[in-house]
Amino acid sequence: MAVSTQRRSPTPPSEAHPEPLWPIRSLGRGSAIGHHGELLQGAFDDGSGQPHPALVTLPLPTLVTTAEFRPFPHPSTEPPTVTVSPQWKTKARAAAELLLREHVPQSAGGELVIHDAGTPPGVGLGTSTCDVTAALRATADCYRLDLPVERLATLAVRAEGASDSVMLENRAVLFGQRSGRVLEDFDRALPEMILVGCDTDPTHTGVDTLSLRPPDYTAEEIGRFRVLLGVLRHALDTGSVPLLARVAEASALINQRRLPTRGLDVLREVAARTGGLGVQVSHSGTVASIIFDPATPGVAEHVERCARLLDERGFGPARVLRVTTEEVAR
Amino acid sequence: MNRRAALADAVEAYRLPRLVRLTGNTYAAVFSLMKLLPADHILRAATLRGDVRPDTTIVETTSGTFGLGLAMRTALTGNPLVLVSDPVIDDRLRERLELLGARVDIVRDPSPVGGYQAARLDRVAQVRAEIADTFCPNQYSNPDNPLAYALAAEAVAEAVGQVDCLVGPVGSGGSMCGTANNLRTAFPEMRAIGVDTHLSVLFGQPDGHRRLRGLGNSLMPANLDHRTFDEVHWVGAAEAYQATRELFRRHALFTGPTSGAAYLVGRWFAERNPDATTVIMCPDDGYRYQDTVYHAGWLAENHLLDRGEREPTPVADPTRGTSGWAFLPWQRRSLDEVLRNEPAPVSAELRGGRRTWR
Ligand SMILES: Cc1ncc(COP(=O)(O)O)c(C=O)c1O
Repeated sequence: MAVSTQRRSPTPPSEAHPEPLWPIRSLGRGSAIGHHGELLQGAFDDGSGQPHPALVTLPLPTLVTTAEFRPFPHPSTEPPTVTVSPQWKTKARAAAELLLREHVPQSAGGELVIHDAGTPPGVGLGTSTCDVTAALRATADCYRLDLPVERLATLAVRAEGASDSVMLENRAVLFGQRSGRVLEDFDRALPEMILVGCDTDPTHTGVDTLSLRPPDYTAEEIGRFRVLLGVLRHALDTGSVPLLARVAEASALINQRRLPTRGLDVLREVAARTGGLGVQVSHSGTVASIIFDPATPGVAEHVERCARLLDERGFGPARVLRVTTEEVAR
Repeated sequence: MNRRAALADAVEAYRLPRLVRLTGNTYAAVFSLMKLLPADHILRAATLRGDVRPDTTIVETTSGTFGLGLAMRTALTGNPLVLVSDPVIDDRLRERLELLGARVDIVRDPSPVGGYQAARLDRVAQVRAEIADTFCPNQYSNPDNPLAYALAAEAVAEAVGQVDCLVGPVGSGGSMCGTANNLRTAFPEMRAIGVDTHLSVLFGQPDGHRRLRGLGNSLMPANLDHRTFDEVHWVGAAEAYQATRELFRRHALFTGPTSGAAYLVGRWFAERNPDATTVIMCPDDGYRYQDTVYHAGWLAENHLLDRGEREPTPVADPTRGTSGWAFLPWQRRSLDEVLRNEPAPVSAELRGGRRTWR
């Protein structure tokens, strides 16, 4: 189902104009949350007959990236240019420039500063989309543009090539990472979960999401994704962490062919031995986690044993992460 | 999410099961016409591949509900449809098929070798030779038949969540293998119980005359993957008809006799395993069977009144045939493994220490 909150943003008139069109702040701010990979990723039937690549992100509201945007003061008829710090955040810069080109006539550009959560790119924590989303929000804030999340999603996909749904905060949606389309809004927040997370391959240089082969799922796999979507809907309706963990592990297993997770067998064994409900992975990175239900009696001990066992098996340092249901402050 | 929208067409209206709670955590997956699901999916997939074009004639041998499914879809798409059948086809079904625009081609004489089944296949070949552009859905071997049941599995999972046991009748194998295999994506340890009938070759019995129709087979279909099944039951017409009537009496679900056969076995499993979430496949509704299953006089005349069987008898060797209500712990083995009485392979899915059922 499509998202219903369609707030309109001011449409800039097309003819040239000597003055900036609306009051701007001298400083725009924005932030975005990261994620811990996906609960589900695959290709889904969108009614067109062609399978649509899409994913359900596992958001981590505690992983926050902020951005600041300072506009250059004078209007310009040249395409806007943005400088970015740190300099290697080129996708964030491209996103800000794209937003200015399409929404702010005669902007000369500005200075963008990104304060990320310190997570490395390429491990699958959404670092890059997080930078891009925070940059888009800071730039939009500067011009008091109230862009709907669908628009942010489209801009993020265009700046990045592939994206995820961090701009939708912790709303659970099935998101087309290459189309920027929300294929299904589950209309439910995720239940609270505890993740024991690790990087399965810390020596790896990171995965370039765009270099991954476009998914070539078989008809059988596309059928399986459909079933997992059914389980996911039931899990969200009933707030069932065990069922979500089943979906996550099944999705990880189907996608091993595409991007194998180092040590997945070890993770599954550790989960089975410590009361973990399932293994969840980043489908375009190296992070993975074992999912626990905070409602399980004695869960704290299970989590501790799990983290210890992961450390022992060479997957340390394991981190205990909480997926909360609170509204995310921006 | 829960807003109700108009359905695109009759296929969409009838192809998916409704999940109905029977008692506790036992559910029936109730289809109006289960075979509509593979009929629609096979033609849709073939259309996407370019094997079915707007004028392609669909040719299939069937005397049952698969033909009705095909006819419903071709009535909507406009493709010509030829259904090859034999004289046992029931007149009312034939009339429905013809009203939907199908040409029903009856072979009058059985083949000297292979009987009606062979004569029908010969006739299909003949029809296809006469018409330039044809497509044969071939439900018994087309892999799109089991694949269609991803939609059924999705509907089941969405409605009931975790499934511990799936029980259903087996004819081509498409529905049980497709639904079970798809549900096991999320629930690999799920129990699958297949329901067959005496003198059906599907699970190793000799071929012979079968009174209970819609399940069982005289030929081995490629779409039957024996390794799907944890347990196989054989039931006769009397037990199945009685259970069909009980399903109606107790739960007001008006179904055909293959649903009753599945209900008999599913109820037995659920009573022994009250903690398990059990789903019983109910493939069609009862209207076609009002003069038989739902007619007490007919049952008495045909000596099909209840024999009061409430427990299945274990069998060791299905090749000797069965009677009454029989079962064999199949344990996800191939037919060969079962017939050679080899032990079950221990699969990774079942090793994980997850709960098993009686
Ligand atoms: C009424 C009914 N029940 C059960 C079945 C068996 O289903 P399947 O062919 O998928 O094994 C059929 C198949 O024709 C049927 O018509």
